[in-house]
Amino acid sequence: MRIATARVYENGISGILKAQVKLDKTQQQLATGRQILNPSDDPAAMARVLELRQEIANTDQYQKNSDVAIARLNLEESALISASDILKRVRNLAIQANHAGLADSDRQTLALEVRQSFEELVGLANTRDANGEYLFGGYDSLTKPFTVNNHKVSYAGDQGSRFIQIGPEDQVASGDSGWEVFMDIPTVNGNGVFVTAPAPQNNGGGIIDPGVIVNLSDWRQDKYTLSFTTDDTYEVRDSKGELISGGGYRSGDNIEFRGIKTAITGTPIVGDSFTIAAIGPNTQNKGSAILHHSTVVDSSEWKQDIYTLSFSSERGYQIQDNAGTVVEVGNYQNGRPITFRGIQTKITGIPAVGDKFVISPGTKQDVFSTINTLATVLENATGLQSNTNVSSAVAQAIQDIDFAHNRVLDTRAAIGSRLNRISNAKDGNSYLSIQLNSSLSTLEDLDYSSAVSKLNLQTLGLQTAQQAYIKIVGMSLFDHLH
Amino acid sequence: MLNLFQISTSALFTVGRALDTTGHNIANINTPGYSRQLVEPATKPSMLIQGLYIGSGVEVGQLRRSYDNLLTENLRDVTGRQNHTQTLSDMANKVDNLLADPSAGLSPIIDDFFKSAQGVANDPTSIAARQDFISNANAVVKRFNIQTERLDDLSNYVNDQITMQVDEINDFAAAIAKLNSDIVVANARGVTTNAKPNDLLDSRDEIVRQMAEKIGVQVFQQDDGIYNVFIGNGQSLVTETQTRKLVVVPNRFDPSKNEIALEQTLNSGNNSQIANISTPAPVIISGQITGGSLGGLLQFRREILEPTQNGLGRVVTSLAVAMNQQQQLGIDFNGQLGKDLFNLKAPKVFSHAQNKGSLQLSAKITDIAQLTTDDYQITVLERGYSITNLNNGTTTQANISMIENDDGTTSIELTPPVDGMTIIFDGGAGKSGDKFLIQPARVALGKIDVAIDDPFAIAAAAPIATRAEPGNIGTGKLALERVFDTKNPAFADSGALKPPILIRFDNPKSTGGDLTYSIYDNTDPSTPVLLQDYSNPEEIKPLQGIAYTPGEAQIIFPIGSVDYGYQVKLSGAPQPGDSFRIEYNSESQGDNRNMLQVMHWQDNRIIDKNTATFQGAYDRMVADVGASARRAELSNDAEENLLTQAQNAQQELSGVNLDEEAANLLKYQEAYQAAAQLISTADTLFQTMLSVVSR
Repeated sequence: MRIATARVYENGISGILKAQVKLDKTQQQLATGRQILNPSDDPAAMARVLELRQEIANTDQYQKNSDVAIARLNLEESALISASDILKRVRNLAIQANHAGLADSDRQTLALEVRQSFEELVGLANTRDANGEYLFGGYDSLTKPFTVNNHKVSYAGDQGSRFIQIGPEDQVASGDSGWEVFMDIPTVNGNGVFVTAPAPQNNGGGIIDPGVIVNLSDWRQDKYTLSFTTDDTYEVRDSKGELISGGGYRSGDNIEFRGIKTAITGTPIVGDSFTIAAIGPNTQNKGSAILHHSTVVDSSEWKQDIYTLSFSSERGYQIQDNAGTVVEVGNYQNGRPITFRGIQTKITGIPAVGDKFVISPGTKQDVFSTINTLATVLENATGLQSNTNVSSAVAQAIQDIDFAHNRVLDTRAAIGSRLNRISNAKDGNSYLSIQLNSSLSTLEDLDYSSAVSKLNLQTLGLQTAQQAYIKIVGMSLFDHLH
Repeated sequence: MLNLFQISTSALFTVGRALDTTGHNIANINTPGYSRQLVEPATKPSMLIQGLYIGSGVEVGQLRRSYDNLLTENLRDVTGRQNHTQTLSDMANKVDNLLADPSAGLSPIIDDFFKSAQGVANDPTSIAARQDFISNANAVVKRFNIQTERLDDLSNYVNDQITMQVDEINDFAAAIAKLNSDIVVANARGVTTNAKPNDLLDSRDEIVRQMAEKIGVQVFQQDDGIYNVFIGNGQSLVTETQTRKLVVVPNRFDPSKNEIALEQTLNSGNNSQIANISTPAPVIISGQITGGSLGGLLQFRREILEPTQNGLGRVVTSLAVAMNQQQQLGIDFNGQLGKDLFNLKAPKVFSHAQNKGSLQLSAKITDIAQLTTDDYQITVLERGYSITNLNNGTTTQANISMIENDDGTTSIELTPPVDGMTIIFDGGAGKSGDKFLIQPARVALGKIDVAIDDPFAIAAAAPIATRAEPGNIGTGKLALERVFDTKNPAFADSGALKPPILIRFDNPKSTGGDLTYSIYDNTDPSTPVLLQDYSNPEEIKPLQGIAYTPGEAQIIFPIGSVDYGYQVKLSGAPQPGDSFRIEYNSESQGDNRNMLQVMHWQDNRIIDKNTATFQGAYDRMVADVGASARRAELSNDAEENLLTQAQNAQQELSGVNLDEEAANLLKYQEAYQAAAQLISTADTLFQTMLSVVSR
């Protein structure tokens, strides 16, 4: 066994170099505080590190998104709280107006206040956020959604609502369209199933409630007549004259039959009658024709009533009002608009002889029209004789305002639950963020104590290698030659 | 008496040679490849004097070098392997560092890009948010370009290294051939005394070892001592005193890539410049070279650099294709259908330098889920074509077909498409045997940029608006489910749907009481026309009386032949007579639905047959390169140890040890002094004799 002198040098040096490389790496780790300096240090951990960094970045973004959503929803909620206040005030005004002893001037004053609330509500519905976007414009958020023309409000927005991503699989609506909040509101006749009306020839002072649905499965599509057989007894018959219900009358008592509920208040007298009519086609219809929604084209001609369109032949129809007066006769043509009393509707399909349709426009009514109608009634009511009309209109207005108010409250409840969801998501995300960061830290961050002890060990190793080198290369037989 | 003079001079001479050799050893202690030499003294033949064999002194029996063929061969082999792993490891670390560099990595930039998409989604009317989105798209391109540029630099470095090292190898080969001839001559001269040209032999071994640092070599020694040197799979580089030259030639497909070729004719060194007209072309042997730094460079290029270039390209290609598709599915601030966000040029198709036909091909990425990071070769066959995946060898037979494009033009394409790419015939005609190379995922520098600089052109909104008709009684809702094709004729007219749609719930009597709806072309709202499904020509079905269960959401479209490129979802509880409209979403600056879809791409596992997100694919690539670098480092560590062992073993025998030489020096000095004393003694004796005689 021998060793070449050059190898002594080379092996000694390479030992020192290797120790230096190791020391340098540890030093870099200490300087950066990172366990993994290059992917090759631990490729699997590096892949996970990159993944974790992305997840953390995403989670942070979800938190920012949540804040955006919260800001928008809070703004909407405060607008809706104001809307709620306005509607409450209008409702109070309506109740005040429903006093028999009011003078015309009092009603005018009340009407003025109602008008003011109207303007205020329109302003509120056109609320903009900090970016100048209309809160209630739907997707069409840069166009002013509500414009007033001759006391009529038209909606220029659309029906969209913007969603914001608050979690990997979680989107939340950051608003509601004005169409939903203010426009698409059922009216007093808008339980969507039936409409109630007093017969025009009534002589008493009875007022019928718009009614609500109790149990839809018990409902049978038909036109029912409620008539007073004495001043304090009534009976309900269907279109064939069959007795459905009846009883003693007390003002304000519920009248329930066929899954619906209504009530009559005031002082009806014997012979008075009220209709409770199903909306849309009669159940006995044999043809396949369907009735389309009606729109008011000329409000001056319109008379609020329930109209029945019946086919006398396959090509001919007539329209009767609630009292049975024929108001229109025409030839049927599939899809051709049918216009009468200032409203327009149409029927498509193939009707059979004897088919009937009940036409009752305005099953949905925007809140602005509701308020406007109330104001108009109050403005136009003169003299004591109009008290009944006012009462009837006010009852309807109160119902309509309640519908509108309910919609506002429902929307606020929805906002509340969305805010709740966002808050939960935020909590979840911040917890997740902590978890992810700690996972990342475990993988990526340097364990300083072990790194420092490694550094010490490696420094010692290098020192030893250097000293050994000096000792070994310093020894040569030639040193002892003279 | 006379003998003592001769004996002592022989001793002086022999010990003198030994001292010389010791000096030669000490002098060459740092000469690479030097084998220490030994004088082996031998007794001179004795003389028969007066019936006795009297010793006649000493002579140099042999001047031997301490050398073992196996140890040298082992050292050479390990040197080749270690240089291979060293180069591979060094180069791999460069890519490793490049990808890991947080300021150069693509992953955080893609993160930012999608974050800015969320910014637009949160606030689609904000010009600043839209501007930020475009800036981030530009940042993605810029970061990609930086990485591409650095990888290109590495590619150029490999090219330069190949050229330089091939030159060096040629010089080494010429030197070996020259030494072969010198050694033959020297051996012939020393044949009587069996003298070996030790220093020449050492030089040659050292040159072969240095050559092994550049390229793996095999050496076969002839009986006459000549080295024949081979590389690769037995390609002869040095044959006796002649060499074959290695030359650098451009890749037959991609001229920007250097390949190593071997000349087919032998040069005898001094007349290499005489070119033979019928010289066969050099044969490319890049694929067969292993060992040495050249082997490491080629392996690096093949297994790390090119896959990384392809992998990086695939991430960017997929991102660009996906974003462009999504942009096209939305509408911009002005209500126009979105245009491409990125300009992505088609992948380059390389024609083989020796193609005989004039066929021009191009390629198009059609399915990012199927796109691989592999390279493909297309070969023109006698009948048809073949598409071969060069990484796994899968070959697909293909034929040409006339394809009608979305925009009405036709093109000739190879069908079936392979791995998400379509190959298009651009003109010319191929000849059997012609070859083409396609790197579908590779995106060269300057092949991608951002096409949009107008923030209003970002398509944040969806093109479809759904509306419940005012006055609907029920609680039914109609919402857009998804848009999947805006090239559909339904979107042909700017700013309008062709046709707008009306969905209306039928009279329950006409259907026996069930809730049903019908779908109409609402072009003329006063007379909606029932839509017809023509998918079965025998039975054209009008879209009417479609059953709907309240509360059970239903996806509408496509229904048979009625396909408008989008789907809508009907939900809730509509009432008979209720109707819904589907229209073009004209005024919709606040709509963010398409941007929400853009965001979803970040988590969409689309790449690699729907297994990885964009960032996932990038991360996977980083991990792959990291693992390759780690493997190279580990095998280099092992080879380094083996090299040290081989060096130690070879040096144990052949290396100079100064202590040993010092001892020898003392030993020979003593012997020299003794021999000199011998002459002095002989002289004294001689003088004594002379004085006796002269008296």
